[in-house]
Amino acid sequence: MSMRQTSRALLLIVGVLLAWFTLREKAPAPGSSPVTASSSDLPHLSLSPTPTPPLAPPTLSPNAFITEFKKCFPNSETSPHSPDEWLLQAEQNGEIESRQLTLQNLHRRDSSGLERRMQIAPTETQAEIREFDVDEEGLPTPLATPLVIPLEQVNQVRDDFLRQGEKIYEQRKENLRFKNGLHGVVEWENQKTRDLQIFNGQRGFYCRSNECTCKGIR
Amino acid sequence: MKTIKNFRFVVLSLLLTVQTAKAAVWENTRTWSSDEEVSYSQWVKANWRNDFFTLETLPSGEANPFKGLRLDCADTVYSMRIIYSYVRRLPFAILDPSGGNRLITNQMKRFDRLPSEAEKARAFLTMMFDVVSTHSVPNDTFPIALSQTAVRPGALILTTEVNHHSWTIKDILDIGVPFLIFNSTVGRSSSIILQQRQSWPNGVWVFEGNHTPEGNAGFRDWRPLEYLQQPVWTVPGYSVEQYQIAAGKWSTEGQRRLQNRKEGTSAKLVRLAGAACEDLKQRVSAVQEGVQYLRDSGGACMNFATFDQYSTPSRDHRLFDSLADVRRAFVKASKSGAQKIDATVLKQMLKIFPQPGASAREELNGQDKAPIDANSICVVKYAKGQSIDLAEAKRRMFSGLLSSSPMDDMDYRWGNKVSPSPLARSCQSWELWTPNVNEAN
Repeated sequence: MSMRQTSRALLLIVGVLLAWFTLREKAPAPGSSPVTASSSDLPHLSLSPTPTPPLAPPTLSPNAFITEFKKCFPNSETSPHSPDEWLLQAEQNGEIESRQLTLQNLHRRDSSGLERRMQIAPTETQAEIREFDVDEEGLPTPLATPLVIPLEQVNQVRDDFLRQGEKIYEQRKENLRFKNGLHGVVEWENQKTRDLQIFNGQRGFYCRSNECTCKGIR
Repeated sequence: MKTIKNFRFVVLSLLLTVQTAKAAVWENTRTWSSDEEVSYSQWVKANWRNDFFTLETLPSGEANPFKGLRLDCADTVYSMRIIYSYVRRLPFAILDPSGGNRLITNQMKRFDRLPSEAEKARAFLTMMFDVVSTHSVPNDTFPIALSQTAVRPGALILTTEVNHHSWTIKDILDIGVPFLIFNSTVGRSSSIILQQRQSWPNGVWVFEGNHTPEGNAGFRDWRPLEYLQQPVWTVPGYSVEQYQIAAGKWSTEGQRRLQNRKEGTSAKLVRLAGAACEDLKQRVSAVQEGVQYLRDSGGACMNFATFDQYSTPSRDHRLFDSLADVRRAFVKASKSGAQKIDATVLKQMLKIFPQPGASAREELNGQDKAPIDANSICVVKYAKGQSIDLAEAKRRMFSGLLSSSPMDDMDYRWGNKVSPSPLARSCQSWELWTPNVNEAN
């Protein structure tokens, strides 16, 4: 093989490697598929299903869900087939006493294709707001120092953020309190239940997507 | 000649590409295992010190790349784990706090331009300070049982969002008390020495607003890397048992469970008074920061963020809790026979709490201003020509004279004058804290 052939071969290898690294870095993050943009804090429980698939496909059949559900909530009069359905029914039936947002992550993409992220962490009276750029590895780059604002300004700040692009991802964590004493936490990802933990005295009902289990509290 | 140049270019490009592909903050040479977790715990116990960020060298002998960093409470928690991972060249990862299910790891390439692993590690840690917070801690840790097998050096304590605070556990003393190391940051001119205390945080404060698993407060430990993207309840050792202990009994029950020997009465009083003294000293620098800012700004009203930064409601609440802990221990000791208390300690305690047989309010009503004398402990200078001991700090704190408002000047912050000052009255205020002396009974 001549020197020219060798250099061509190496150039080809370099090209392939560069392309591979470049494409690999541009691959979308799991769960970051687009969802319908919204500028308001929508109550997800009442939203219709979105085309976004859950992160982990359900591995249990609906019957398996009900079996676990009934283990933890033997006196429940409902027979839901999924965590989303159960929460929706509970909301519609007025069984949920309170829903408290504890964390929200929003990702938006502007018209030039740049991604920007906002994290909202509210407490009783205030909220901490963090904004991030995203580097070529898809990792967050903090912008300025976190902003602390009164709670009543959160909607305005969130709306301003979303107005500047298309919402491509949303994650919400809420603490739930039911009128019958159940309590727990739900994490929504693109308006679908990702993780759910509901505590019922000595038992915990735990779900990732539709895969649920009822376990005694240790 | 052109061919040779091309060839050189190709080889150089290939080398750079391969180097870029392999670049990491540090190269992993070990993996996490149960033995490595034991080693981590031992390292924290031996080496995690409040002056860690002043040290010239790491315990391994290499230059300390983290020297001079200032940390808030969440930074401290993550630093403990990141630095150990760096020292041992172990993989480190957290769940990306900005959302999604991706990890931020020491394999990231952002710091490739830096020439050495030490410089990359410092840059990585500093970057983490801007990314993590007490809100991200639950993603990377899991709740553990309140037991001797689960609570270990290297674990941590987190509060609910109400008080958004955290502590690293350097050690569990054989009397069942956690030795805690926590944030250095008060303000821009604060010390790089971390704070420490050998006492239980107040359980009511730790779990304030949410004494349930979803509040995420209490003892927690690091998730193994393979569980960062898994549901928290699947992590080996996951336990929500600690939430079944009443918040008000969390510390006494915890001490009972974690102790290998009972603590002597006088030793306990001295230890608790020492913890209160630490809180008092820390208040000095915090208030100084706020007063300096107020002066520098020419006494202008503050916006919400600045007010939040320089007000001290949580800090003052913690000082009150520490003093209340001392009082409760002294009252209990007095009831079971004051003769059990060392004579010197007894005099010191009586100066702070002159009527252990009365309620905290009755005692306060009969307590005069306490001059500094031979029975004073924890004499602290808080301003030029102004000092205070723990007894007088207690009197002012329990009387509600200590102001947590950053719109108040030094005399008001320390209770020489009654807050609010005219300036504080004329400006908008947000969340402040006032003590309820009945909580000290």
